[in-house]
Amino acid sequence: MEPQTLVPIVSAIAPPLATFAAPAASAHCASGAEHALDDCQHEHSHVLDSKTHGDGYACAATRAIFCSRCRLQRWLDVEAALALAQAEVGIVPRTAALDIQRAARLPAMDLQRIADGVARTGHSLMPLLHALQEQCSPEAREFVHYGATTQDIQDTAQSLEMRDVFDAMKGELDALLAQLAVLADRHRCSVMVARTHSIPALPTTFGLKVAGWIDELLRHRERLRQARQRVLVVQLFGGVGTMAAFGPKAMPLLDAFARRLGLEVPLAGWHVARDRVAEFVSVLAMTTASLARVADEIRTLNRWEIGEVEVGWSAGQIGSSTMPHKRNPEGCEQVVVMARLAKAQVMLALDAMILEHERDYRGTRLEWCAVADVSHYALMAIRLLGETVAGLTVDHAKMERNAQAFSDSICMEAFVFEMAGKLGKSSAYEIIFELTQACQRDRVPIREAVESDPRVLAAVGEGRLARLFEPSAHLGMAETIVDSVLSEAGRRRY
Amino acid sequence: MPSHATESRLYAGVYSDPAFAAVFCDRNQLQKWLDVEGALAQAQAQMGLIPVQAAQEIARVADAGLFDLDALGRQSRETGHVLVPTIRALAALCRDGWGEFAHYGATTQDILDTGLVLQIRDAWELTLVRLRSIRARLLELALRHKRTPMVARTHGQQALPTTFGYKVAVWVDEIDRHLQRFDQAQARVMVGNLTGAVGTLAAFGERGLELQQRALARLGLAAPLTSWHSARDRILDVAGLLVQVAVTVGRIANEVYHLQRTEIDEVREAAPAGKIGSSTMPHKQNPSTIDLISALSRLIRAQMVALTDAAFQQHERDGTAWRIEWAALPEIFIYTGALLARMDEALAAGLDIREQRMRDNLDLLGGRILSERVMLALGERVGKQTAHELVHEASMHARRDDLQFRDALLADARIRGEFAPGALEALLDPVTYTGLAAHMVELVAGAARTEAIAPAVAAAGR
Repeated sequence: MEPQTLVPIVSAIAPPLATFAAPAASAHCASGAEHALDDCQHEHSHVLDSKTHGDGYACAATRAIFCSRCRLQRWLDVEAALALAQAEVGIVPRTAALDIQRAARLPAMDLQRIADGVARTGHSLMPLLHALQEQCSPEAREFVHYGATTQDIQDTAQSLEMRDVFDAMKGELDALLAQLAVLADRHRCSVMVARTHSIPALPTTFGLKVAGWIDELLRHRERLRQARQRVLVVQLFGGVGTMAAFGPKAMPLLDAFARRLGLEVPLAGWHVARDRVAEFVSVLAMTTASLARVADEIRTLNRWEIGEVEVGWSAGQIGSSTMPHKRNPEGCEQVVVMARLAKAQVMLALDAMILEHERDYRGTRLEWCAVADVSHYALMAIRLLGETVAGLTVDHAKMERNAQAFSDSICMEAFVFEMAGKLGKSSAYEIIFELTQACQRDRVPIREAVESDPRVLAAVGEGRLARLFEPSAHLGMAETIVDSVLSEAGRRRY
Repeated sequence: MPSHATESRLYAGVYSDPAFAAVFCDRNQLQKWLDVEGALAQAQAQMGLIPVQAAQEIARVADAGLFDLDALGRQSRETGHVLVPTIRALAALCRDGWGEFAHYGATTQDILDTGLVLQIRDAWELTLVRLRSIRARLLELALRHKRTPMVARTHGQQALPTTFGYKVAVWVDEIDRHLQRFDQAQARVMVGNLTGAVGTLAAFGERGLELQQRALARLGLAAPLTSWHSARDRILDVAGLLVQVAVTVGRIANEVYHLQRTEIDEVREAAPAGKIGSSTMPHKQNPSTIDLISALSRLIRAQMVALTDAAFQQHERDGTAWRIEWAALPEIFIYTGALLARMDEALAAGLDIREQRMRDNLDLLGGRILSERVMLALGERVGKQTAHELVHEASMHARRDDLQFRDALLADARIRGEFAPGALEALLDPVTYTGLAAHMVELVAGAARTEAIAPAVAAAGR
């Protein structure tokens, strides 16, 4: 930056340049200590709760599932369901159960006192139970959390959380699939370059590319549906999984408890058998990874050098703080970020499986993080990709131009098979290989060399040359595959 | 309500630590960015690149307290840009249009990366304070118990005697190596980055490198040789150190977890009045802090997966990678803060070291724990290989018939004849077979190192 370039700016807005001088010892050194933040409560130190960046990492759907209050209310809901189920099978008086149900409302409780209690007792549930008991009649108070262990309540509540996540995933994934189906259908005939090793390979259609995404997401939809049956079970097996404190009515109680909560009944306690939770985390992380593949593909096709798609841009959006021309594919990038963060949760979920004896809280504490985080990231990724697809402009004319520009490369396989009829496939391959490699070495156009090569001319039918250089003539089963994927997408229901 | 565990109203005290959370909270992050913008403007003024009044004005308003975080959040969503709303607000706060010179020639990542290093520097200090405090407490424990005999175990089975102090000294020694690693990494890590949109410093003009050096010096940071917008090894350096600390502290926690098993019961986590073990088994006193530390150590390690992913960057800058750090780096530090705080607190509350139980457990095998010693003594007479055969036979005999090892040894005429009366009994005293354990505790506690951690002992006592 030349100082004189500053002149017009400065004179327009500020005192003249004559005021330039070496600065005196600054009154405002740029140190954080200068600016006290005494009133800061230091909330939001995790990015997904950040006021400024949180909405790139989590959306309302999962916040409503995993926020502190909703999580605690869910524990209370489970305690209420337990009491009602116990009343049903005759373990707890009906009046007591109804009173517990009435009292199990978090807004009536002092959250700060509960938090202080957790800190003081080092126990994650007892302070909440004490608060619940305070809201109960003297009779009902004695029947709160009757015979259950802490993990029974927390695991069952976690199953309810996972159920809500499955529900949200289903809705969002279906909506995304519907968007992608429209895109695949619209571009079933949009010819473009297919690339392998990042190098143009053969012609394809954009519709087929999108159909490949749909097919993968359909499998995730199936996995989510199948996992749901296996994963969403209650936990009510007492201190060490024997159900000793529930007496002879333990099994009917388990059934009633599960029925009330809409969860399945497991054969045995799963306090330390955490495969269900690991499956949940894995399926979500896998789904997010597939979304990231789609987002990353869009990001690459959005490169100016390729320019086959363009991500949406709205007035007011900003790409760069110093390069005003920029329109960055931030949404696509953030989906990749979500997938990598989701992936890290899988490691935790697997760690949380290696537990000992009848219960082991070293794993539970991990799941509280991994289950919530993977859910935030997965749902955020679907949301972001949905927005990206909604705003996407597909430049089929540019796709076509790129395909034409590379036609002498991407149509070479077609020449091999055209010539194979007369020469045999291997001999045809050798001729085209030699020609195309020599052209690349000598920097001469492949098309001219091919069109003037006597071996090619002898093997290719009269008048077929121009047709062979036409990318749209080599689309194979692309449209048929798009059709079958779209019909599968329309047929299958979650 | 917050939905991340480190923010939870209930569990922030478990998964987080206030001092670390304060470093990474929204306000402090914004303040660091503003610090960088202020330092940049002041260095530019110092070099005559922008008016002095502009720099003074920018520095005056570079105060997070003057900014509306809710509005910045809203504008971030509207613009899809993380920093421009802050720059606009900064410019608007400046009087007389001096804000035109804010963020002059820098790129967003310059500000965010340099701000991140300032946060890392703060959290780095907090980490070291806690780690030194833990180290001091452990060293005290090691010295106090340098001669407290206990069972050493391999494969989960009783192996030979050792001392509790030596076990702890091994932890201290490991922590000392971490402290050394932090020390060595510091100069490499505390480096800012003001290299412009693609690392060429094009918008800073011909004196760009000098400008970078001056601006970063104001922040107490070194200047890099080349841009590290897409070279994230420094971040991995930091994460790697934290993971190593987490594994060590997690290993210590796991050891206590196992030593606290009721069947072993040699060490117990402190159980202050009011602490509750179970909601249905009133007798329980669980190693709950230890459980938590173990979980935290894995949470810390898991961030390494995300952070290594963030290091695979493309071209000059790469949004697919960079924003991973915004989640994973604060998270790894906050979890580390929680891990260190929980361990420090657990040690401050005092581990209950049950010396009698340690001594009793040494006798659990009826003396067989000293088979190595007997074998070596016998070997001097009959040859070591032969002695191994004989002592192995006697051990199996004692195990099979539930005999005291002494009796099984004396039942074998080939062994009995080799020992003077009382000699075998002396060999079978576990307390006198702890090798150089106590000596090595002294080595770990060597004078130089003790001096080096003296301030931490004082800090830990506050």
